[in-house]
Amino acid sequence: MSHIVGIDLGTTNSLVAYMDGRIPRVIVGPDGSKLVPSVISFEDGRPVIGERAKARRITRVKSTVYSVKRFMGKGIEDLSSDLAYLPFHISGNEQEIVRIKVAERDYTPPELSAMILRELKTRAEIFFGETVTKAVITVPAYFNDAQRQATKDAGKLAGLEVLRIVNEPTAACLAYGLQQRHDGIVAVYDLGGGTFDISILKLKDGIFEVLSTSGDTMLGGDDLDYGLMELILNEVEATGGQGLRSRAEVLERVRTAAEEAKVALSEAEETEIVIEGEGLGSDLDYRRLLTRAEFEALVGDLVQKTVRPCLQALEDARLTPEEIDEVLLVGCSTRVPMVRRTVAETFGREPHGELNPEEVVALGAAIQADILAGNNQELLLLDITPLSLGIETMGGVVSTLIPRNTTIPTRATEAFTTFLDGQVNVEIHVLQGERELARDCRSLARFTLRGIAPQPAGVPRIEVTFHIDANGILDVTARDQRSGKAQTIEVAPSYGLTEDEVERMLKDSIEHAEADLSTRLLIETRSEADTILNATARALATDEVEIPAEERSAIEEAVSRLEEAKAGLDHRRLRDEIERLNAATRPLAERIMDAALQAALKDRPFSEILDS
Amino acid sequence: MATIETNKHTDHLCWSCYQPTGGKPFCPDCATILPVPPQSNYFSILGLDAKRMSLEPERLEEAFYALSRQVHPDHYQSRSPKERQIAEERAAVVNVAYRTLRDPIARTEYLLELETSSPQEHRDQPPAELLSQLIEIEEIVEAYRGSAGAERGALKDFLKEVHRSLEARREATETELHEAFELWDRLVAEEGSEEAKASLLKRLRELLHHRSYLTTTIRDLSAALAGEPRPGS
Repeated sequence: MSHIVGIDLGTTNSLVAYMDGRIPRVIVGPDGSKLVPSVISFEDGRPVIGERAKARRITRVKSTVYSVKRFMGKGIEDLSSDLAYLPFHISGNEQEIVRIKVAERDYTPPELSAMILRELKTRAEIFFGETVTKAVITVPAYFNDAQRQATKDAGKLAGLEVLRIVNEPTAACLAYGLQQRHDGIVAVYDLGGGTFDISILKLKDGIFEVLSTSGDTMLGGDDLDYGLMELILNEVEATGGQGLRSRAEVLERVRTAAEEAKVALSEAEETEIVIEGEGLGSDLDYRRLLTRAEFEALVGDLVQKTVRPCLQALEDARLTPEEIDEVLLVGCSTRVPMVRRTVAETFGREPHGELNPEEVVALGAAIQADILAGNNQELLLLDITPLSLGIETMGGVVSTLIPRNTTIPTRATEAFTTFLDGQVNVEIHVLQGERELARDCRSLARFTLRGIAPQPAGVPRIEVTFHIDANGILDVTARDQRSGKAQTIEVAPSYGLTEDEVERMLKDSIEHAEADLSTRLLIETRSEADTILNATARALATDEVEIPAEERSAIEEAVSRLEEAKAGLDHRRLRDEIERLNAATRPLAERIMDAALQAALKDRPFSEILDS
Repeated sequence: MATIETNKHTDHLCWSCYQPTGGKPFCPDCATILPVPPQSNYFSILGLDAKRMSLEPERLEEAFYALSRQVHPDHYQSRSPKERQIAEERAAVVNVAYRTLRDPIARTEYLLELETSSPQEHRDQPPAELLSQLIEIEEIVEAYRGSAGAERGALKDFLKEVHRSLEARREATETELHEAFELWDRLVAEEGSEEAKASLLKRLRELLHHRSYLTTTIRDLSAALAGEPRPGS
């Protein structure tokens, strides 16, 4: 059976995991690392992803992009806080999908995320030695419909069938529950690179019932970096630095320094920030000692912003902090000591920190993939929708159809009619959010019911069913209550791609086909490399023939070159190294053949050899 | 919506093997998952006795978990698209049913919907005594919002006391509600008269009504005491 992988598509890093029997494991890449930095850089028009792209953030600012997850399902009007600190050129109209200019071309966030997913897909394919087409992908629990849909679109563009979108804190809890195996109430505090989630779950006999969730999809490690960047930029400007904020290279250097200082302060009480004058376009280096107390004063308000959602989640679950049995920490930003302290204060207990906060989400995704594959009937996730779903009614007021924290899948039915005689279309504006007015909520989509038979106002009755599936994604169907016939609906998604656009992108994507082909070639060439490496090892161990030291060292060099190429992703280079090793071992192989032939001849009568 | 809307052509025969199904979630013959039959209600969906109002939360949760294990779409991923779709729909209905029935208030509203043809027509007024009390309290809340100094302190203490007594009254309506549930279950079991049922339903509706007046006042009061603006303004 083909493998279903679990993918944690993170703001900062991404991972892919699988089930090794009953144990979830993160797939280690050819470079020996588990984390793939969620960075994309274009080299001669081709995307490179991960560490290599990350290294180009400063040197190739205009061809490199990261933190794409923060743009998923967002409009240009949502991104003002990021645009001050990220060196990207972003365009788009209000309530429409944004486009990010990288290497002189515009890309939508799902297209860029698809490149990261494709890299993870390739990793998995090399690991398994076969193609991978199905995946479970995680998203922040507080992601709205548009953000979930964008993630699903990215999967599709990467050539993956996304079997399920799973909430990150839920996935983390699944991995935790599998390991601990005891019942109780668990709060998962997930502060990642770009997003914050809090979820409260009830674990009972293998059922993981999410009771409530809350969060902020624009709050994470990136925002802590912005706080520190602001301090550095202000100080450089105070010493006469000019026009720093509009120079992408400078922003990148400052960002890197801020990030490094933040990480250092998780362990140390103080750290030195050094940015060479060259990077700032100045004669003077920037140098400053930063203490943990200073850092905490800078980011204290941001960390404090996570408390209110925690209290909201407790209230929604009708629980007090004392009723929580365990608090789990997830996400790279929970390494910050102040974050841990805040969690401990909010819940009145020390959080559980034994799990690797960076891997646990991907492990949970792999477990969910295993459940979907039908390999695990014991465990079941009952997740919820994080935001209330409603429709705009007269006067711009929202009428809630499905309240937040409702277990999914779920549905609600509403009857619609016409306001004018002979009206043939009805528009339904669907929103997500907790506010009373439509303008304060998030627009999901406008649905137009078309082809209603002309009748006096108020006579037609169109029954519309709003179904939120197990991925947390909305599907709307309608039927004429009198005729029972299905009603045509035209969907205009806010902030997203239409189905046609996704299809077109898939078709247009030549790199896509090329990437698939090169993956297949790579897999085949790798197995060929293994064959020749094994044969060479046997030949070198033989005592049938003499191997001069010079020949041996030449072969050994070719072997190590091939092994190095095997750890990479370039099938052409791998092919070249196979040829090189082949050439280096040919004389030895011939001598071994001769020796074998001689041995065969020696022991057997001449006639027998002629007959065979 | 009192009954759950489903496809018309689901009938009582299994869509896969055409054997009678008896309204079960799975075909007794071929074990295929079946669509939710028309005319089913939240009680029957969760496998409970018809319109049983006294429900223990633990029992209800057990029933919900057991059903979820059977019908959750996670367990139908490798099945045919039709089975997947039915599981998705059935799980959605199970979730809505559980959400409605586990909450005594929503459960009562649902029963009233099932039992009364047009619930909107019965708009009872709360008893005059309760209404005038609540109006008086709202006036004091307004005075408190505009007050200062010693007067404010005194009003605050007074309102805290009022808050406590309103909470107690709300709890009392809950106790009454549960007593009415038991009475209802007895009436159903003993096939009591229609008049007795109608009068009990009227009582239930009144209780919900009182409760919602109390809840509004308590919310205003809590907001005022916490120094927040009036909710919804």
